[in-house]
Amino acid sequence: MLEELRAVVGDENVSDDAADRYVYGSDASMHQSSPSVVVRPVSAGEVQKILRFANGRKIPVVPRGAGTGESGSAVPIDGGIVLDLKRMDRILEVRPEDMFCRVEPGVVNDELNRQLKPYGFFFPPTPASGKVCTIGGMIANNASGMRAMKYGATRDAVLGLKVVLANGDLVTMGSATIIQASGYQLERLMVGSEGTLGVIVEATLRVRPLPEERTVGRAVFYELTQAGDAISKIVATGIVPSALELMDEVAIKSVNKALGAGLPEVEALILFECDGVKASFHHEIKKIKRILEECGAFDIVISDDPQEMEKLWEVRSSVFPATSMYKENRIRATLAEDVTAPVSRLRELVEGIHQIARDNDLLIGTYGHAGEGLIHTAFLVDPRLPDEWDRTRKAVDEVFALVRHLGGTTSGEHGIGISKAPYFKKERQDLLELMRGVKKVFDPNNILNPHKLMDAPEDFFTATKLRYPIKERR
Amino acid sequence: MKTKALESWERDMLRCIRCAYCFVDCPILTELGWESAGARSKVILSYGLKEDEIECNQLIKDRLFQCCLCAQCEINCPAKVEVGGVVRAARKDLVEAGHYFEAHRVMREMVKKTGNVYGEEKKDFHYPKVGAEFALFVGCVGKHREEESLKKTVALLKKLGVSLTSIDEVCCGGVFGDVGFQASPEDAEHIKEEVKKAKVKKLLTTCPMCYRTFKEDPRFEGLGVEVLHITELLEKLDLPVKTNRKITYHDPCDLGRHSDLYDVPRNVIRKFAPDFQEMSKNRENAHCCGAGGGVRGSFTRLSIDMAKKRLQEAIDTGAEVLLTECASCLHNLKNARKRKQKIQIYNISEYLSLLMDGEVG
Ligand SMILES: Cc1cc2nc3c(=O)[nH]c(=O)nc-3n(C[C@H](O)[C@H](O)[C@H](O)COP(=O)(O)OP(=O)(O)OC[C@H]3O[C@@H](n4cnc5c(N)ncnc54)[C@H](O)[C@@H]3O)c2cc1C
Ligand code: SF4
Ligand code: SF4
Repeated sequence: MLEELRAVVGDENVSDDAADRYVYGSDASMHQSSPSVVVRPVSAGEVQKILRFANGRKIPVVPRGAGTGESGSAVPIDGGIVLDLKRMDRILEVRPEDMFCRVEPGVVNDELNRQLKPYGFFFPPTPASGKVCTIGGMIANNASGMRAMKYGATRDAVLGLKVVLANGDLVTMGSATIIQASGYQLERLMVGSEGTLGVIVEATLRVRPLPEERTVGRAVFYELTQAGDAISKIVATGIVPSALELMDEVAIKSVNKALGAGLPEVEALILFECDGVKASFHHEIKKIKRILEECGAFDIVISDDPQEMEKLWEVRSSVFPATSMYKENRIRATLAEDVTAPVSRLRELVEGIHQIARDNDLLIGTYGHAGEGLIHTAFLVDPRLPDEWDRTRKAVDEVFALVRHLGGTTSGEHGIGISKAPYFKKERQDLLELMRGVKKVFDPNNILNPHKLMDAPEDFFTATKLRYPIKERR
Repeated sequence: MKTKALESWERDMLRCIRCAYCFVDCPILTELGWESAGARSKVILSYGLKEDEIECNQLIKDRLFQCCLCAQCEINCPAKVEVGGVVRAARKDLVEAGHYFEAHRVMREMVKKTGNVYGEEKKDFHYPKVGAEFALFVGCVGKHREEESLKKTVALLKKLGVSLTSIDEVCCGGVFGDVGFQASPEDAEHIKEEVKKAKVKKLLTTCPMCYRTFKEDPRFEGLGVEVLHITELLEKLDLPVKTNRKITYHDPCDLGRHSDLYDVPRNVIRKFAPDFQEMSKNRENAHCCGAGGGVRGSFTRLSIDMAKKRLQEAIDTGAEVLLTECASCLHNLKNARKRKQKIQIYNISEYLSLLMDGEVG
C-alpha cells in the first residue's frame, strides 16, 4: 500500500510511522484509534488517485482537517488511511460582486476571514475553534457558532462543492449562484456527512458584507434560570442579535482562572452583540437591555470599542479549553457537548442539566450559543476516581433523554461521530435505513469513514480505546 | 521506557483538551506540516510514552526534540498546559533511556572540558575591576559565535561609563535542562563563587537564556545579586545618539515570552530610533527565530528555515535595520540572510556602539 500512496503524493507525504499513527488516531474527542497510514495530498487529482486505489482494495479512508471535532468523527475507528487535507489550503478566488469565494478544504476559518476582510466581506459561521478548524471539517460537521443566529450555520453558506467520491470520480454539486433550484441539493447532503459520503476538495461559499458597526453587551445575573428566561424572551420579541451567548459560573470562573478575564463571578452571564448600522440596531439594543433588566440582570455593560469586543469574544472562544482549569484534578471530557433545544425551552434545558449534575454528584458547566438553543455541557471529571465515569455515563444518558423530551436534537453543531451516535440513532430511528441506503449509493464498499453516524457502535464508551486513564478502571 | 520525569506532568497532559489552538504560530509545525510536529502532538506523544502505549522510535524522538521551547503554544493555550514543561520532561526521560542527540551530548562534554558548549579555547574578556557595580556575564554563543558583536556591546558599556568587571565564566548550563541533560551543579557553584569574589551587587547578562537561568534555575539559588538583562540597564541610561533609519525589533523568546520583557527593549530603541516599525508578529506573538530548545544543534536546517521566515517578516516591515538583543537570535538571523537581502542585523547594544562611533547611520 505504501508504495502506491508514495507514488501519488511523494515519499515525504506518506507516513506509517508509529508517531504519526498515534497522533492522527485522535481528535478533540475522548476516542483513540490509529490509522495504518497518514497521507497528505495537495490536489483533487491526488485525492482521486488515493480513493481509486483504496476503493479497489477496500481500505477505509478518513478525511481529516484540523482534528478539532469533539465527537470522534475524524478518528479512524477501522484503521486504514487518514487523509490529512491541510495542505489543500488555497483560497482560489474571492468574488465580492457575486457574494462568494471558492476555497480548498484545508483553508482555516480565521484565515479565510482575514483574506475576505479587505473586500469588506466575511464568512459568518464563527465557530470558537475558528483559528484552527478547516472549511472541510466545518462543512462535514455543519459547524456553526455565535453568529449563526443571524447569519446561519455552515450549511447556509455552502453554495457548491467539488467532491471526490469513493470510486475516485470528481463531481460538482450545487452551483456558483446565490440561489438554485436545479433538483436535488446534493451539496446540502454533504453538509453534516462527516466524511462518510465523499471528500470535499473545493467549496464555493457564500460570504456576507461585513457589518458597518457592532455593539456588544454583557449582563450579569444572580440566577442562571433568570438568564435562561431572558434569552428566550429576547428571541421571542423577534429581535435577531448577531450573537446571544450564555455562560454559567463554571465557564466564568474557568476563563477568569485561565486567562485572567476579570468577569464578575456570578451564576450567569449573557453576552450579546448587534450589528449592522447603529442607527437601526440602537433600538434593538435598548429593547434587549429592557428585557434583561426585567429578568433580573444587573451591571449591564454596553460597548462599541473594537478592542473590548475582540477581547470579549476571545474570552468566549476560550471557554472550552479553559474549563480544564476550573478545578484541580478535574479535566474536561467531551461528552454530550452541544445539545440543542427549541429556544423557548432553554431554561428547562439548563435547569435540567444542572439537576442531572446534582443527582449524579457531578460537576457539569453549561454555556453556549443560547440564542440558538444550544448548550455546551462541560463535564469536569476526575479520571482517576473509580466510579466517576459510571456516573458520568449515566448523566450523559439523562442529558440526551432530557433533550429529546424538550423536542431538541442530539447535536447542534459538532456532529455525531462516535460519542453521540447511540443517541442520534434513537433520535433518528425512522431514518436509519434511509441513511444507510444513501451511504450505499455513494460508497458501496463502505470505505469512507466507516462505522460513524448511523453505523457507529452502540456503546460509545467501548467503541474505541479512550484516551484517559479510565481504561484500566473499567 | 521508564518515564519518571513525565509522571509529574500527568495533570498537564490530561488537562490538554486537544483543541489544537496551539497549532497557531508554532514555528516547527509551520515548517514541517505534519500534525505530529505541533505542540498538541508533543503532549499526545509524551502521554503515549508515559502510558506505555507507544515505544520510542526515531520519529518520536525527533518530534519531541523538534521544539524550540519558544512557548508560543503556551501563550495560545487556554487550558494553560505547560507544553514546555512536558517536552522538557519527555526529553529527560528519553535521554535517560539513551535516546539523546549526539550534538547535545557532545555539548555537555565540551562544557566539562573547556567551560563552553563549543569546546573551544577559553576566550575571556578580561577587564577585572575592583569595586565595580556590575559583573558582566556574556555566555557561550556571544563569546564564541558573535564575538565582534559582543566586543561592541562591551565597548558601549565602557563608553556609557558603566562600572563593570569580568568574571571567570563557565557555561550557565541553561540549555542542558532544555535538551534532557542535567546541568552541572559544580559549574553553578563556580559562577556563584566568581560573583561573590567580584564583590558586586548586580550581575549583568547579555544573553537572555543566561538571564533566565540565573533567575529561575534552582542551582542559582543564593546567588545573592540582582540579575539584570542588558536592555534593563540601557533603559535607564542616557543614550547620546540618534538614528533616522527605520528600525524593527525581534523579541527573543527567552526575553519576551519567558521573561516578560517586551517594553524594556522597545523603550531603549525608541530613545534613539524614532522611526520604529513593529513586525506583524510581535511581543507575545513574535515568531521564534528557530535557534532555541536545542533545535539549532540537532536540526540545523530546520532552525535556519525558521530564521529565514522570521527575517522575511522583518524585511516586510520595510525596516533597514533589524535589532534584537540575544546572541543566539542574532547568529541565527544573520545565518539566514541571503546576500541580496539588504537589511542589517544587530544586537541593540552593538548597534548603539556603532552609532556612537559613527560607523553606522
Ligand atoms: C475548543 C473547541 C471549540 C469548538 N467550538 C466550536 C463551535 O463554536 N462551533 C462548532 O460548530 N464547532 C466547534 N468545535 C468543533 C470543531 O471545531 C468543528 O466541528 C470543526 O468544524 C471541525 O473542523 P476540523 O477541521 O477540525 O475537522 P476534523 O475534526 O478534522 O474533521 C471533522 C469531520 O469532518 C470530516 N472532514 C474533514 N475534512 C473533510 C473534507 N475535506 N471532506 C470530507 N470530510 C471532511 C472528517 O472526516 C470528520 O468526520 C470546537 C472544537 C474545539 C476543540
Ligand atoms: S492549546 Fe493547550 S489544550 Fe489545546 S491542544 Fe494545545 S496544549 Fe492542548
Ligand atoms: S514551544 Fe514553540 S516550537 Fe515548541 S511546540 Fe510550542 S510553539 Fe511549537
